[in-house]
Amino acid sequence: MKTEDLLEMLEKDELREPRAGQVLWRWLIPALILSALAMAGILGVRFPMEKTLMTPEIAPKFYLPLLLGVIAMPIAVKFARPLARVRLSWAWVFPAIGLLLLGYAFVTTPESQRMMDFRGKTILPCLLSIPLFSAPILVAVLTSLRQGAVIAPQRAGVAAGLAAGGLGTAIYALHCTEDSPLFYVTWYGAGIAITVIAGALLGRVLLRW
Amino acid sequence: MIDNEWMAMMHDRQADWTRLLRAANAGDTRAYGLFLQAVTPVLRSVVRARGAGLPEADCEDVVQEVLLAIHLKRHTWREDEPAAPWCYAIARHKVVDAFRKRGRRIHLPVEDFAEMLPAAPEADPTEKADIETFLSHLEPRAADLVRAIGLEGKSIAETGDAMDMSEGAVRVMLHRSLKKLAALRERLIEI
Repeated sequence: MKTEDLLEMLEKDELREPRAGQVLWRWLIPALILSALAMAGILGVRFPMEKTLMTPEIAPKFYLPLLLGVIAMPIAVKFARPLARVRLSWAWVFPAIGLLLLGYAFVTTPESQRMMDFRGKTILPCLLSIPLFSAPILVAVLTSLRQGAVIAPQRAGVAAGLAAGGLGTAIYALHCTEDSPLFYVTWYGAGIAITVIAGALLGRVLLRW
Repeated sequence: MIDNEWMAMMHDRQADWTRLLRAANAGDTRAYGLFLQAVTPVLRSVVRARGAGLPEADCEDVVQEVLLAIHLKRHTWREDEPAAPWCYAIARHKVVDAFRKRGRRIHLPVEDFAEMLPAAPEADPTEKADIETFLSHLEPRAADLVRAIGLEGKSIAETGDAMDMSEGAVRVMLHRSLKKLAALRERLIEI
């Protein structure tokens, strides 16, 4: 094909693809609904919800990951634009807050009970559920990013993993009955880390163009 | 040596490309054509300079792949951004990718694009990819449409009349055909 002929066609093609941010909603809302329904259907919501949402020591397990997800989502989508300057270093604030909570819980928990709280009863379900409920959200973000021109696929995957891991964990927190920060900071953190690693690996594969 | 004249020229390139691409976004197809015409020789220079050992025909194929990428990803450019660095970012990514597919690793700093002068105008550069192969991958109507617009240089309206299609349908089919072309090239099918 002559380059001239190609240019002729490109010039006349006035249709533009939608931006990643526009596509995101199309995928994200069904993904959130799917994860929430799966959580409610398979595991069940813990009632009364006020206990999770309003108790000072327990509430962070829902609000912290939610905040992480809400902050990371628009940042992840920025990776669609080659010239967007995207920083991820802010994300370290979350492990830092987690450590503070952990330290607080360590000090306020009687020594005899620390190990019991830390282990809880549901490490494995927690480590499986968080990546599982995050997965549809991760797929939604990565699918939207494919619409863009991602120059740094691995970092974009990390951002997508933070967004998905945050929201997926918030969903799981509505079921989980482990209320000590010794448990939820550690194991939720691990669940989110697994999601972030999955995001980085998938990003390298899926965000090529 | 970097003299003032050269600096001024590079500065002009930035301003010109941005102006043209903004006009193109506003629906000025002529400006878009000029933009592509301005970008092509710069791409050609970079690809040839970096394509050490790659035959000229393959180089031209790489240039075409980059042009397709710039075209199909132009929604990732925001009007408040300068167009040239955006083009360089897309082109760099795509050139490295194109060489990797052809079994070559290249180091390509993005500055190469900014500093590269356009290749001197010349008679049609040869290219390897054959349009007939591309057409054979399209459904018959899309192939006719690509032939009319790409080879015969017909307008959207003329093509619509000739093929008894609405202009909207012609636009959609053209766009889909270009996406298909990019996908085929991605799999390194020589067309």
